[in-house]
Amino acid sequence: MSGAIWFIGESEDGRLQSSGAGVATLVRQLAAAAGADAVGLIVGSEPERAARELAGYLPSVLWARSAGADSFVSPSAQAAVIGRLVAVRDPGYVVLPATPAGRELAGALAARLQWGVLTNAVDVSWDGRPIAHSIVFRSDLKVRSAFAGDHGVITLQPNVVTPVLSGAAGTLEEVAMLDGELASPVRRTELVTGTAAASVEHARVIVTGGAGVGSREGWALVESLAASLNAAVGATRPAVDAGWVGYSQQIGQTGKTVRPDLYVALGVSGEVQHRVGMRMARAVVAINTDRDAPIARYSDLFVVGDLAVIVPLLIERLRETRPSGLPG
Amino acid sequence: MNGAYADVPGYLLVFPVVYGAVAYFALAMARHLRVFAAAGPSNPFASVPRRAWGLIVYALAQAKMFKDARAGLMHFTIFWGFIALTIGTADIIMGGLIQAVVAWPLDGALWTAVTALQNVAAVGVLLALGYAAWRRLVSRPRRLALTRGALIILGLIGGVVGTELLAMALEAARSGDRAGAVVANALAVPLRGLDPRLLEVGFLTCWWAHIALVAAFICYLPGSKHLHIATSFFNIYLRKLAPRGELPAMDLEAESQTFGVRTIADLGWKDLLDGFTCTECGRCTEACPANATGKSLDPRAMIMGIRHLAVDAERGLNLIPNSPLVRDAYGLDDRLAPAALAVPIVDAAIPYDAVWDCVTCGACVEACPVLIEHVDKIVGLRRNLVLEETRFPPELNGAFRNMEQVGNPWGSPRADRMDWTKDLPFPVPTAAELARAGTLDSLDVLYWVGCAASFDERNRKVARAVATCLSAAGVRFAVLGQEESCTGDPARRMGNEYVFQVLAAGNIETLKRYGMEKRTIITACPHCFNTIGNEYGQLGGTFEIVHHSVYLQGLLAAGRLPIAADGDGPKRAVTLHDSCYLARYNAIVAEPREVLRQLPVIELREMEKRERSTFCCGAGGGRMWMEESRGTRINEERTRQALATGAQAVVTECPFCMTMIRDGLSAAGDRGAGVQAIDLAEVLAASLLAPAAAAGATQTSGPRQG
Amino acid sequence: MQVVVLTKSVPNTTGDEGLGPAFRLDRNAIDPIINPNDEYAIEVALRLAETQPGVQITMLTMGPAAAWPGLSKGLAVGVHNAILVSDPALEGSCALGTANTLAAALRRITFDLILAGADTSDGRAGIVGAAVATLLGIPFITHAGTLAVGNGAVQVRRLRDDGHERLEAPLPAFVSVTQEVGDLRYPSLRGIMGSRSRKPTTWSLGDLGIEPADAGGARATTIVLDVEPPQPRLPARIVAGEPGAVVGEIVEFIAERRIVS
Repeated sequence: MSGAIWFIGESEDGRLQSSGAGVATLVRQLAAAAGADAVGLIVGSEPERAARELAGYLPSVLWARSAGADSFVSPSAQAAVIGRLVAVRDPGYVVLPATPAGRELAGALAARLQWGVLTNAVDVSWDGRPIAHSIVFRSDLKVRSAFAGDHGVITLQPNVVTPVLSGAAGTLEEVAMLDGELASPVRRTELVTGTAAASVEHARVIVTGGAGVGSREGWALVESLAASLNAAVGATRPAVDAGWVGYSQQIGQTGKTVRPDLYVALGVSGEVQHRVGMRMARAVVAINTDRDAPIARYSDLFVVGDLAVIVPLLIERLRETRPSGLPG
Repeated sequence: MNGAYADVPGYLLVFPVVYGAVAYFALAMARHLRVFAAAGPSNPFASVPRRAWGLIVYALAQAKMFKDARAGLMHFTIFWGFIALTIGTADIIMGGLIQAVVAWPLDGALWTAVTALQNVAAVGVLLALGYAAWRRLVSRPRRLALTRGALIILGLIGGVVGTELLAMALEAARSGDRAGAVVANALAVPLRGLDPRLLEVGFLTCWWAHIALVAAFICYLPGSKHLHIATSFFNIYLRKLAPRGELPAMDLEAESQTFGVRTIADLGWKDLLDGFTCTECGRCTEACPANATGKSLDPRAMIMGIRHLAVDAERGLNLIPNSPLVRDAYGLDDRLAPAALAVPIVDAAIPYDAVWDCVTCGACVEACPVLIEHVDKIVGLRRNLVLEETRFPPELNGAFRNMEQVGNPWGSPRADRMDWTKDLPFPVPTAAELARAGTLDSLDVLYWVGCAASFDERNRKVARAVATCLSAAGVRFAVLGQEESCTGDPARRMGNEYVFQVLAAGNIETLKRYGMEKRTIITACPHCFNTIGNEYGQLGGTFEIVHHSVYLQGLLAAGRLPIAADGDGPKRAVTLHDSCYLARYNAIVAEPREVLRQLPVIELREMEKRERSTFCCGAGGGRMWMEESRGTRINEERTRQALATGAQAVVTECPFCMTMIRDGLSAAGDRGAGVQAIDLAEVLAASLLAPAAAAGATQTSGPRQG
Repeated sequence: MQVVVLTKSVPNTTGDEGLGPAFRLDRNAIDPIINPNDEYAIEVALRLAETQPGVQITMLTMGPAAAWPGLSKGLAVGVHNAILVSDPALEGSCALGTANTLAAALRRITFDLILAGADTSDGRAGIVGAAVATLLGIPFITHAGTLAVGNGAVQVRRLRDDGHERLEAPLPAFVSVTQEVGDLRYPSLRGIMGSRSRKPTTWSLGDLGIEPADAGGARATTIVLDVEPPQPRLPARIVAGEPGAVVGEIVEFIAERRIVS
């Protein structure tokens, strides 16, 4: 029997971070295939509730409470705790979501443990060892890779696995902190969440509107679709010129260059000036009334139709298909 | 000796007064020239016959002045009238020598004729001055600024001419008609009844007033905008003779120099002469598309600003320079004001934003009657901003980087360069393929596709139309494919000479590798055309390049393109938007029109601003890759002009014009609905007889979105 | 203050990508450039040098010697020194191996602040920075939107998916930056010309005291099993017609591509 497979969750305002449930589901499935234990681990200032949520997906969950009033636990301190627990309990593999926080934790953990890291997996299968499937350099290259040894850290793209509850509540176990273990030279002086438009440069999903959106009212549809896809809002130059959205969201020759996993183009014709800003997008869905719009050449899925009809329907359908176990 | 003027009391005083004025003029001009010495070199001396011919065309015939017919006639009258009148004044200051010589043959008939001519000229000049004053004070066209200097000049000229005519009339009233003085004699008629003493006092007053005003005029000139009467001959003679589309060469390896133009010391002395030649007529600013759309660029203000900087630099210099001996002996400093020479031109003579507003369309240069070069100076300023200060609109960062790294301003992959050929029913070989197959010799022409037609979806259709026409005419052509790079035109005009030279060197090497120095290159891009044809020579690449409008017209004329004789249906009204780099810079205006004339289904409706006076689409000078946030959009203004013709399509001959006019049409809303922007090659390809027409040139769809 | 910028040489991915033997990127076939995110880090360092006296900037790169021309741009914009860790044995290094090698190099120089891009355009792993900092035992902050140095500490506005937070760490520290800090300035002509003749300080594994057998491909912790060869992007699937049906197609497409659930 192989060593256990661990999932390191993140808690956010006391709840399991939205990306966690899907990754935990995959860890459970992977451990089942490997005949290994699947274990979740949450370290935070208010870990119990997140740990309970996680126990809905995994048979066994460890949690550790960081002492003190400051809810901030630096990733290096988290890595120190996790590294100690790994050394004690000897799991085989550790899986984290490929979020900004997950990645930095993975790096610190790998350095501490001297374990290899496989990053940005879109799927992990088991064939005597974990096999990570990832996509590099645009969507062209699909790579399968594995660890040379018996241990490793994997980061998995969030949202690539649909969360499925295990149907049974897992066991919860609190692990004790050592004195001063969470002390960190890094201090947090301010935290601001839920503000401002998400920046397009880092968004994994972008919904972009072009001149074809037609009006300020039409622009509201772009924003609602973006909200329902957890996406940033992008715009072409004509849309910015029309005053529907600020220049900070402009994508293209004289705007931003983006590289999202999904790019939804609404009423965007796809002139080269715009194309240059989004050609790194991994997958492109375009909706346009003009069947001959150049964007058709750069799309994976090209929908000919009226935005005013299709987009509200799409928003509704996305709401329906969102599984219940997911927060927010 | 002074027989002719013996009756004028104190005549001898004329000599110190007028020659004193001339001496002052000479010293003031010499002081101007000392600033020239501080400026960089210019070497406009070769090609004497061409330069001399230019003097006749631009200075004597004043060809450029007549673009504004009324102002041209006015100026022509004043110019030639003044010259005729100067004969009289010259005679006075030469002690009657001219009269003595001219009156000698034919019993004085010649001098009588001269007198008559002067009389008529005086009336003509006075009328023209009246018109000039009316324009400044009453009708006030936008380009004319009402300045004190302008009124002083009008007053001085009017005074010089008026006093002379009046003196002649008073003299005729006193001592009888003068032969040939038709106007003065007529004016004398009502004066004859006056007291002779009064007539004499009046005559002397006018005569001396004339001399005094002449002296004042000569003294006023060196510091005034009217100096052009002395400098414009030189400025025209010393004009840029290189193709106007050829920017000055630049040595990037010269380490000690300033790169580009920062202060007037970095300009050539000919650029300072430009400043001293400007008459502030405002034709440049009136023609400027950036200025017309509310941007801060004002070419006249820049040239005036350069003059002001030059004048500031000479401030404090003695009018009569000390000899080096005296300077050394008394420790006198007799140099130009160093602070004034160190003032950056940007912000002093031209606002920073204005430097980037320029589309380098050359309308200002075309409009200037005294052949001032504005664009080369602006690019010189950009060169300094980019190469030394790295101050430029942030959007250009990406364009520069893309040109440098992947050889096109958009940063599209080189691998996509052949994508436009995919739907064509015939193969488009690359030069590399032909070279491998050993069939390069069979090539008729190399088609230089250009980045826009390689990567921009709309312009790819133009490339297909060009290829379709070539194929239909049986022309054996090839392209460079992935070996083609941006010519560097945008980089060069944005001031990034480094990137230009890197790209140009690469292209020259590639073209030479395939022996293209001995073949014809054709292109549908006026910018590529201008740069390869006019600028690559600076870097050792001399190629024959032909714009597709010219090449296709040649194929048509040779009967190699079968045109559908479909003359039954209603004609399609189109207008032709001349590209600046084709029409203005390279004087190609007839061929595209000839192509359209050959097509029975086309009716050409011209815009007012066309041919060499065309109005830019807004994309030149690298503006294609900059945001246009100041003022209104140039392309929308040009589209408005095109729509005013009632045309159903705007024919373009440049990929950037295509993009800008399309954007303009979609911005025009309902007015632009149903109006197409279409390249000349597409118009032609659509008229080809089947099956040639079926070869892939597709009609375009409606206005673009996004 | 000594600022070290970790700069990775990456293929210019706007060009064609191809894989060489052993499924590794054929770096010879593609013009290498500085990883764009690392360029932002260079810009941050240059701004620090403008506002603070005595800032010395060093670029540190691990890569083949052929990477140098693409990296020389750093010197053109004003980076003071460049170190290239280059050794044939380093070929095939895994992410952990890269971090170990970089940490070994960093132990040989003094530094107050280490900067790098938040991730690289080729791997996009975004783990090496945190690993290097952990190996060196210094605090790290990733995904900086803005950065300031003062009072012996670095203050960072760190971008989060849901907003931002302000963090502070004492120097020496590691900070990774994002596009939000601003584009790298364009080099002046004098900078370009001056950087042409300069060469980086090159360190081999021997210089770092590492046995070739303990580094690079020989000690790689991860292996690539196979790569599905690059396929041209398929033409778009075009759907039209009944809105309900096309919306179904969109939802299916999104699910199929495993982008959002």
